[in-house]
Parts: sequence; C-alpha cells; structure tokens
Amino acid sequence: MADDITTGTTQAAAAADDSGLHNATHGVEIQLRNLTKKYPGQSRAAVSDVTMTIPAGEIVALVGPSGCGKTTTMKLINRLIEPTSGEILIGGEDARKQPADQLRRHVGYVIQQGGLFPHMTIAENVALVPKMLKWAKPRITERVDEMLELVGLDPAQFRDRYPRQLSGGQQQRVGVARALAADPPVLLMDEPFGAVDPITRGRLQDELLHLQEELHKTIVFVTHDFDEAVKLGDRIAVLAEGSKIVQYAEPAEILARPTNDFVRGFIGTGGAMKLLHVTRIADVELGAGVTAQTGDDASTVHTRLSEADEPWAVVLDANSRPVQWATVEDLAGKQGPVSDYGTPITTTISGRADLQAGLEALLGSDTDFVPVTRRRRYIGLVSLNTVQGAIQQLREQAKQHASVAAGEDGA
Amino acid sequence: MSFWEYVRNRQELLWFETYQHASMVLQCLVLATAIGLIIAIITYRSKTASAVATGIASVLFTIPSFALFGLLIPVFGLGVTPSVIALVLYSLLPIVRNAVVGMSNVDPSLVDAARGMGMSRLRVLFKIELPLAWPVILTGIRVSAQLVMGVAAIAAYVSGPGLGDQIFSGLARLGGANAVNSALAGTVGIIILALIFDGFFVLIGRFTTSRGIRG
Ligand SMILES: Nc1ncnc2c1ncn2[C@@H]1O[C@H](COP(=O)(O)OP(=O)(O)OP(=O)(O)O)[C@@H](O)[C@H]1O
Ligand SMILES: [Mg+2]
Repeated sequence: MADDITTGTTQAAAAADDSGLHNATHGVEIQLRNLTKKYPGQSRAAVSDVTMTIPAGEIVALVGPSGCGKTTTMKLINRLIEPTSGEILIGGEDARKQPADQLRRHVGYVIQQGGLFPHMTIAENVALVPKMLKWAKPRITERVDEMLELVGLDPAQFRDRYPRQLSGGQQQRVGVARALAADPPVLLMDEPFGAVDPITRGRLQDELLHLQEELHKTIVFVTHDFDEAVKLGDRIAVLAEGSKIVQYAEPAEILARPTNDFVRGFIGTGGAMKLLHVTRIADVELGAGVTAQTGDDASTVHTRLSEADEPWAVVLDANSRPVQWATVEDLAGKQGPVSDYGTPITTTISGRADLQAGLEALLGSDTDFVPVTRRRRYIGLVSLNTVQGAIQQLREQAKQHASVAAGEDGA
Repeated sequence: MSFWEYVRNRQELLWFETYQHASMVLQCLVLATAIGLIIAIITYRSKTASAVATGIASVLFTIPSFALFGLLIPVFGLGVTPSVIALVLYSLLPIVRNAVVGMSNVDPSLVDAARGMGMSRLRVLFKIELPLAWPVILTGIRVSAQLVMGVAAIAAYVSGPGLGDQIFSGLARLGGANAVNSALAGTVGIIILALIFDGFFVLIGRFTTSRGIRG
C-alpha cells in the first residue's frame, strides 16, 4: 500500500484511493474506542476509557489542565505509546494492524519548540519522511522548497541553515513543514505554538488556518490556551484528568452552553466576547437598510426613505460597493443624482471578519451602523442591535444543539 | 654527548619507536572506541546497566598501570598482546562514560519526534542519538588518547613496543652514559606525539561534527 505513494505523484496516489491512511492526502477520520492507558507503576490511568470521533478534515482542539493526559492521548494515536486497552481506527483501519513505523510516516507529528534536529539543516529536517518513504531525490528537493514556501519561509534563504540559526517562530514553521512534507492525512500537534510570543503565535495560528483551508487535514491540536482552541478548533474537547471528555462540541456551543463549572473555568472570563470571536458577521442576521444607486434621483430616494421610515440610505456604486451615506435631511427638497448630497462612507467591514471585529468597527466609527461587504459588495449593515441579536441567536442554537446531541455524547 | 647528538645518532631507532608508539596508541584507541561504543549503546537506555558499565570501567581505571601490566604477564606473556589489552582497558572509561552521558543527554523530545515520524530504533540511534552525542563521545576519545599516550610508555615494562623503551632503559642505567638523554628523548617524543594527536582530534572534531551543533 505504501508503495503507491512512492511511485506516483501525491496527486495520482490521492486520486487512486482516498480512503485508506496510506493513500489519502486529505484528512481521514480518527476513532478512539474505549482507549485506556495505564503507565506501569501508576495507580490511575493517564487515559481512561476515552471514546471519541475526530471527523475527517477537521481541527479538533484538546484542552485540559496539565497532566490530564493530552500528550498521552496523542502518543496513543501515533503509537509512540501502546494502549493498555481499547482501539484506534485511522481512516477506518485499525492502527495496530500495521507496523508502527509505517503508520507514523503517514501521521504528521509536531511537538513544542518544533523538535527540529539541530545537527541537520532545515532542508534535511523537512526531507526526512519523504526520504524514508523512498521518494526520488529531485522530487524531495522540489518538495522541500514547496513546503518551506507553504509555511512562509524563503527556501533560498533558509534551506541550508541549521535550526539554531532560526527564531523560535521560524523553527515552529519548519516543524509544521516537516510534518506536512509527505502529505499525511493526519496531523498531530502537541502544543506546537506554546513556546513563542503571543504576536508570533497569533500569526502562526492564522497561517495554520490558512493552510488548512487548502489542505483539509485531520488535525488534533493540543493546547493549554482556550482562546487558541476557540480560534483554531472546528471542535473543542475539554478534557479532565484521565483524558475524560467533559464537553466535546463546536466552540460556539461550548462558549454559549458550557456543560459545567469545569468547562466554565476553562472559558474564563469574557465568554461572551469569545463568542463574538467565533462568529462571522456574514453568518448573522444583518440589517438590510435602504440602498440607492449613485445615479438615483435624490427626490425618489427621499420618498423611499420617508416611506420606509428610515433616517438614511446607503449609496452603492455601479459595482455595488457602499460609497456614501445619504440622510433624509440631506436629500429634503433636492433634485439630481443622490451622490451629489451624500457623505462618504469611511468604515466598512468584511463579512468574513468576526463579530468582535464588527463590534470594534462600530465603536471606532461615528455612525451607529457599519456597512458589511462580501468581496467588496454590500450585503447589509451591522449595528449594536445586530450583535446583541446574534448572541441571543447563538444561545438559542446552542440550546437546540445540546438537546439533540445530549443522547450521543453524554460522556 | 649532548641531547641533540644523542637524538641525531639514534635517529632511526627513535623514529621507529615513535612510529610504533603512535601506531599502538592509535590502534588501541580504535579498538577501545569500538568496544566502548558498543557497551554504551547496549547500556545507555537503562540507568542501572549504564551505571554498572561505567562502574566496571572505573574499577579497571583505578588499577595502577604497573600492577595491571604485571597481572597480564602470567596470562598473556610479554610483548604486544598484554600491552594492547592494558591500553584498551584503560581507555575504556572515558569513552564509555562520555558515550553514555552524551547519548542519555539527547533531548528525549527529539527522540520522540524522530520515533513519531516513523524512524526505527536503529535509525534513531544512528541518525539522531549518535550524531548528537558525537562531540561528547569524541571528547572522551581525546581524553583517552592523552591518557593512553603516557600509559603506553609503561608497556615497555612488558617488552611492549614504543618510546617507553627509551625511558625504561634510561632509568635502568641511571648515572651511566646517555641515561638522561635516553629518558629525555622518550619523554619528549611522547609529549610531541600527544600534542600531534590532540591537534588531530581537533581536526576530526571539525570535520565530523555538524555545523548545527558545533560550539
Ligand atoms: N512515561 C510516563 N511514565 C509514567 N507516567 C507518565 C508518563 N508520561 C506521562 N505520565 C503521567 O501521565 C499523566 C498524563 O500525562 P500527559 O503527559 O499525557 O499530560 P498532559 O495532559 O500532556 O500534560 P501537559 O499539559 O502538562 O503537557 C500525568 O499524570 C503524567 O505524570
Ligand atoms: Mg503534554
């Protein structure tokens, strides 16, 4: 099976069969079934009867207090540690039915501080797994450069450097590049950004999300930092001692409806603010507002405003971009194109931004509304009312979700 | 006869004995390095095993060299064999100790990373642990070289080869003609050899240690 990958190009191999671990490049599902690990000489299991499904192509963040068994859970998945009992299915295949070394070559592993080998150059580090998979030399060289570019490092500049000649953040990037080099469907990341400063960390997180948009790997991401989990996770598993799953749900649901005080403790203060962070503006109900085209006659627009009982209209140009505000007063008794009477719109916000950014835009603007755009076209207005409505809506949704899901993961 | 005249007169013999000395030391080091590394590789993963190995090497190390040579005569007779055995035993301690320390000091998270990407135990050993421990191992070999250089002189006591012959015959004839010259020639020869070996190890270190971990 592994040979398919060594002969064809990655794409060809992926096209041949997308299901098995060895052939897939997009993520595959991981299932943990009643997984238990007891270290010799310890009374309590480090991982105790954990059952969990990690959906294909998603980022699942594991958060929990120090020593609760996060690292152990990760090492069970790539078999650095053998379970005491239970089983692991990766892409539907029993992880223990194949040689551990073979399995690991198809499961990327990133640890804190990158885990780069200091005696090897950056290129040698990145090339390790492709080499073990016996890729042809030219292909490896090409792949190394491709991976370095992918993580935002100029290959010409970094290829031949040694890890110690890189900053912590750069090393971390190489760590990710190395883990992705052989295009594994699964990526395990154990506090990968724990040791870098908050600004670099934020940037690395953004990059990871960006990569994931293209790659659709199945990523298990361990972190201490709940905000990081919220930002990166498609789902978050909040773990207690023994890797016991206290809550496993989408970030919005955990934020809106934490199951108990333990989870609440993790969310910390400002849960509502975090909720704003996980919601895109385009996904909430926006105010429609009255719109007008630049060429529309001022008097017609005035009439429409009076009829709708709105104080002003958003004036859009030929490409539907919001360009001006035109108030009822401005337009009263005026003739000619409406654009002669409007005032320029200074602040707009992208629908891809989160609600928190929307809130900030509102606070920074001197209007009570901020026009929202998608691909620069007007899609609606955001106001304090919109934000408030959105939070209420999220709470409701979470409630419904919870009552539906109550049966299946009451763990 | 002045020291220089003595050296000039016996040029050929001195060259020969110097060559023998260097050759013996070098061969013993190669042998000791091979044995030492094997011992270290077998034991470094277990604290107990590596402690036992280092302990035995330490005990051997504390036996005075004369006594060790003396003990070897009844078993191996005189000549090259007992000399080589004694020298190898002496040089084991620094090599084994440094190899064990060097390899167990390799950051365990690096070993995890290596295993986690699918390297076999053997590959981790040869690609990660040994290269990372290499500077420390090499220091052990270098210390051994200095040590064995001196001890090798005593090999003359069991009729072993090398510059020790000059020293022993000089000391035996103390007061006689050229006695001091002879002892001095042996001693100076050994010192020069030791310096050359040390320089040699510095060079080896340069060429065999990755730039990524060079100090
Ligand atoms: N090799 C080991 N031998 C014995 N016990 C271990 C071993 N590794 C971990 N443990 C124990 O297992 C438990 C879980 O450890 P683990 O490293 O999985 O925690 P973690 O959630 O990753 O913690 P952290 O957030 O601090 O990294 C801890 O109580 C730890 O002491
Ligand atoms: Mg951990």
